Amino acid sequence: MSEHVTEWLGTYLDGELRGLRRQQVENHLERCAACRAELGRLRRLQDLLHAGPQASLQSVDKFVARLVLQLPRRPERGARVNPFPIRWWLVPAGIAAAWVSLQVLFDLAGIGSTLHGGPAVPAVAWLQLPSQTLWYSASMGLFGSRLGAGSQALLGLLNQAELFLERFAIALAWQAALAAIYWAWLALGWKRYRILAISSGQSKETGE
Amino acid sequence: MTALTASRTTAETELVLLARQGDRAAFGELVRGHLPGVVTVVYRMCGDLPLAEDAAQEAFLQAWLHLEAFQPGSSLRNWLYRIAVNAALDTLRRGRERSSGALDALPAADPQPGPEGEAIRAEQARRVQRAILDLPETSRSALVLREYGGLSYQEIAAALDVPVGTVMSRLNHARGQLRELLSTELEAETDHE
Repeated sequence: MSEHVTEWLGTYLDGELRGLRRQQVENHLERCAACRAELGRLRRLQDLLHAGPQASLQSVDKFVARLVLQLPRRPERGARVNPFPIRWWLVPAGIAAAWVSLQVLFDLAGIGSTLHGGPAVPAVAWLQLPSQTLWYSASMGLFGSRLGAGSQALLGLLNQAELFLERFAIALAWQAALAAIYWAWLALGWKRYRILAISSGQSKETGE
Repeated sequence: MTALTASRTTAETELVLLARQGDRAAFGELVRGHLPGVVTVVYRMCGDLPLAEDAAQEAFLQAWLHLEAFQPGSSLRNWLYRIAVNAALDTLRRGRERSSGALDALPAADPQPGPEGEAIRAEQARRVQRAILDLPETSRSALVLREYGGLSYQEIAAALDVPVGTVMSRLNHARGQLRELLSTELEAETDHE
């Protein structure tokens, strides 16, 4: 004899068994008197649960009327608290604008320097990156005269590649730093907004 | 979905939208429509009519405050039942703190019952309700939503935030325990057949 299907009988009785499992249970019930008896007991339990008086309120109208009177004001939508007294989005925008201004200033300084054959803006010259790496300067100083044209060109290329990567990394770091500041600002703003919104909601509820 | 059910759902959605804008009368209509079902569920969870009335009131108040969370188009009944079960459990806990227990407050048989059979049935109903109250909260919630709320397993799973398999096992557990608790009544039923 196959295994009993006792564990599925409740689900079967509830009409929640589908497909193959349902078929399996029905086939088994045809053959198994013990499982049929078990199903009968479950049916009797279900009948017993539904026997007797149903709970009902004496007066639905009274209940509804009393409830409606007790309903507090609904939390207003759109009445959101501005967590920042100033236009907070101006801050990251200001940082970006400052960054662009500095970038333009350095670029102009670079152009001026190129045109006049020297550093045009001494005040910002210390900020400019060197045009040679240390190892390239040292190599050229020590062995430059003994190296062939091909070797010098190769070293020059490697020097340029490293300088490019260095500037790229610096630019990337700046952008990452700006992004971090921006997102941190947003996160702080959101957190503050949540705290204010929750406390505002609570004060409204308790105030009524 | 029949045309009648569809139009009822549309009307209900309109009432929900009005209630969200603060229309108390619209919310009152929604309450009126779902009150019998909610009262049945909370009564079976609490086993005491005054407590059930408190729980129903709390459930509807919570529903009013959190109407934004309800998704129009989904079943309002299921959403209300979910709130009702939680409200009933909270009310029951508070009620137990106040008194020795809700069992004493179960609806008693009519003091002047008339026919004897009616008194016996009332006593049987008391025992059934007592047995339901003896179930653990998790099994009781699943059983009440199934037997008295008429929810499908999927709906119970959504209401209680558990997998369907858990609903099945909780129902099996609840029925197994009820059969033990109500063995006398079940045997009497068998004898009558």
